[in-house]
Amino acid sequence: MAEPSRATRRMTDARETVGISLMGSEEAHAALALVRAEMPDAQITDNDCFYKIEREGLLELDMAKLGELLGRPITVPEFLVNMSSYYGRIVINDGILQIHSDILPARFRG
Amino acid sequence: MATPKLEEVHDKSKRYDWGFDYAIPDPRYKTRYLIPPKGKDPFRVLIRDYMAMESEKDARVFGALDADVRYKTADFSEPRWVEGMKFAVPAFTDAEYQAVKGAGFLISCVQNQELRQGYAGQMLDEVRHTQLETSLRRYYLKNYHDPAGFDIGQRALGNHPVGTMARASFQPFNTGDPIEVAICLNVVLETAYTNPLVVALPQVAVANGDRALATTFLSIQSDESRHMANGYGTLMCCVQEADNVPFLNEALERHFWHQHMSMDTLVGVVSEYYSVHRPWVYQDVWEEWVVDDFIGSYMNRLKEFGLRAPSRLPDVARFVKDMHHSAALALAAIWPLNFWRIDPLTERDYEWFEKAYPGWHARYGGFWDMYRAMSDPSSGKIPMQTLPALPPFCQVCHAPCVMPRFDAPETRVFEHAGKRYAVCSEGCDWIFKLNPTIYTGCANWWEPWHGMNLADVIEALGYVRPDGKTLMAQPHLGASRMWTLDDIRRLDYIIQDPLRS
Repeated sequence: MAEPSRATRRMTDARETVGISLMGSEEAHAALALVRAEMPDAQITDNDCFYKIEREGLLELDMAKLGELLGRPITVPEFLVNMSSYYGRIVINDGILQIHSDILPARFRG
Repeated sequence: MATPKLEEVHDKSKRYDWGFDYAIPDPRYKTRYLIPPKGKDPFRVLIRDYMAMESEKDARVFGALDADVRYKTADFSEPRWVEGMKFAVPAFTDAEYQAVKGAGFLISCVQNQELRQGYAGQMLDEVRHTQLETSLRRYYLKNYHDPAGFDIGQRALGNHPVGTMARASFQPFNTGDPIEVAICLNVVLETAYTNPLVVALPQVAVANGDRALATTFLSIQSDESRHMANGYGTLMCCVQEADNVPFLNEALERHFWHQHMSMDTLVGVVSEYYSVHRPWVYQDVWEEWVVDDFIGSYMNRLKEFGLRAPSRLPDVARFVKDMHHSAALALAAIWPLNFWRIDPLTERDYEWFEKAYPGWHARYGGFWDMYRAMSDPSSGKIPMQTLPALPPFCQVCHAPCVMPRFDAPETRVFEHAGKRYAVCSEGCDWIFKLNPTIYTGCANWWEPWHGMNLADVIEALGYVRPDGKTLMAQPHLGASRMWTLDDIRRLDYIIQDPLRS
C-alpha cells in the first residue's frame, strides 16, 4: 500500500484555525494592510486572483478602521462584496465582521 | 438621525414573520427531523443590504466581462482550457439551477423564521448564479474561435455519459428530506466542495488566460459564503434535538461520499487535464480546503454535539490520489461521445504529472501515448476499440466504473429486483442500499444504445457541427483535418452494454 497522504495524518485533528478568502480588490488590499497592522500573527497567502488570510482563534475586521485605510466609509455588506469564502464561525454585528474558531460563539448560545 | 444598529433592525425584522395559516402545508417530502423553532442566521441578512450588495457585485462582474470582450481575452486563453469549459460550465449551471429549487424547498419546509430569511437570500443568489454562468457561456460562445458545443451545453451535458454525474450529484439539492437537502447542499457541497471549485479553480483559470471565469466564480462564491452559514445555522438548530443526531450523521456520511465522487472528479480533471499551466496539485488543494478547513476546523469541532466526520474520509483520501486520472482517461477513451475537444498530452504535461504524482507515467503514460497516435483521422482508430469492454456507469454517482484506478477498479455488479446494476465503489454500494428506489429509476447510460453503430449514437445525441458531418468532439486542437461521422462509421464500432447478460 502506498504511503498515507498528509491528509490521512490530519483527519481526526480539530483545528483552531479560521480563515477568510478575499478576491483581489481595493477593499481587499486595505483589509490586508489592516490585518498586517493589527494581527501580525495572521498568515496571508497570495493566490494570484484572491488572498487567503488565516489565523488561530479569531479574525476580526472593523469597518471603521478599514474605512480609514480606504479613505471612505465602508459597511459590512459593502465589504462582503469582496469576501469569496471563509471558514470558522462568522458573526456579523454592526460594523464588525468576526470569524471564530469556537464552534458556538456567544451569539449562537441560548 | 443616527442609523439604527444592525442587531436591532434584524431583531425587529423577525417580528414580521408569517405563518402558513392561509394554506395547509403539504410538503412533497416529509422530514424525519424535529426542527426547533429557534435558529440563527449568522449573516443577519436584511433585504435592503442584500440588494445593494448584489447590485455592486453584478456591476463588477459585468464590467469585467465587458473589458474581456473589449480586449479579446477569450482568444488569449489556452484553447485546451476553454474546450474544458464546454463540459464544466453547464455542469456548474446544473448545480445552480437545482439549488434554486432547493432553496425554495427549504423556505417552504423549514418553519424557522430566521433560517428561512437566510434561505430566501440564497434562493435569489442561486438565480443570480444561473444567470451569471449563462452569461459566461454566452461570452465564450461569442468570443472563442471554436464555439461548437457551447451552443448546446445544457442539453449536451444532460445526454452525455459522464455529464449525468451532474444531475445525479445535484438533484439531492431538492429531493428527499428537507433537512438532508440542507446537509447535502449547504453543509457538504457549499462548505466543503465549492471552495476547490469556485475559489481555487479561478487561480487555474487565470494561469490559463481566462479572467472571465475567475471574476465570475469569485463573485459567485461570495454568495456561497452565506449559504455555508445557512448550513451551519440549520445544523446547529437541529442538534438541539438529540433524536436528530443519528440521522444527521447518516446524512453527512451519504452526501460527503456522493459529492466527493462528483466534485473531486470534476475539479481534478478540469484543473489538471484541461489546463496547460497548473498552479497547484489537486490533491494538495483537496487537503487544504476539504481536510484542513472543512473537516479540521468544522466537522471535527462538532464532536461535543455527537456529530462525527464522515467515516469514509480515509477512503475518500485514497480515491483522491487517482480518481481524476482515471476519469480523464475514460473521457479521452470515449472522446467521440464528447461535445468538446481534448488534445493529447505533451512531454511537458508528462513531466508535470510525474513530478506531482510519482509513478504516473508507468500507470497512465501508455494510454496517452496511444491517444496521441490515434488523434488524426488517418490513423483509422479510436481508443474505444482497444478497451476489452466498455465500463458501466455507477448507478448512484454515474461515474464511469474505473474508480479509483482504471487498472484496479472497485466496481460492484449485482442484481436488484431482477435487474443488473453496477456501482463504482463500496461507498456508492452503501448509498444504493440505503434506499434503492432513489437510484433504480434511470437506465445505465449504455443500455438504450446497445447494438447501435457509434456514428448513429453521436448523431442521435446531436454532437455534430453545423455542417452536419463534422464531430463536435475532436482528439486534437488542430483545424486542418477533423473527424467526421463518416470516419467513425468506417470503424463499424457497435456499442455493447457491459451489463447485458
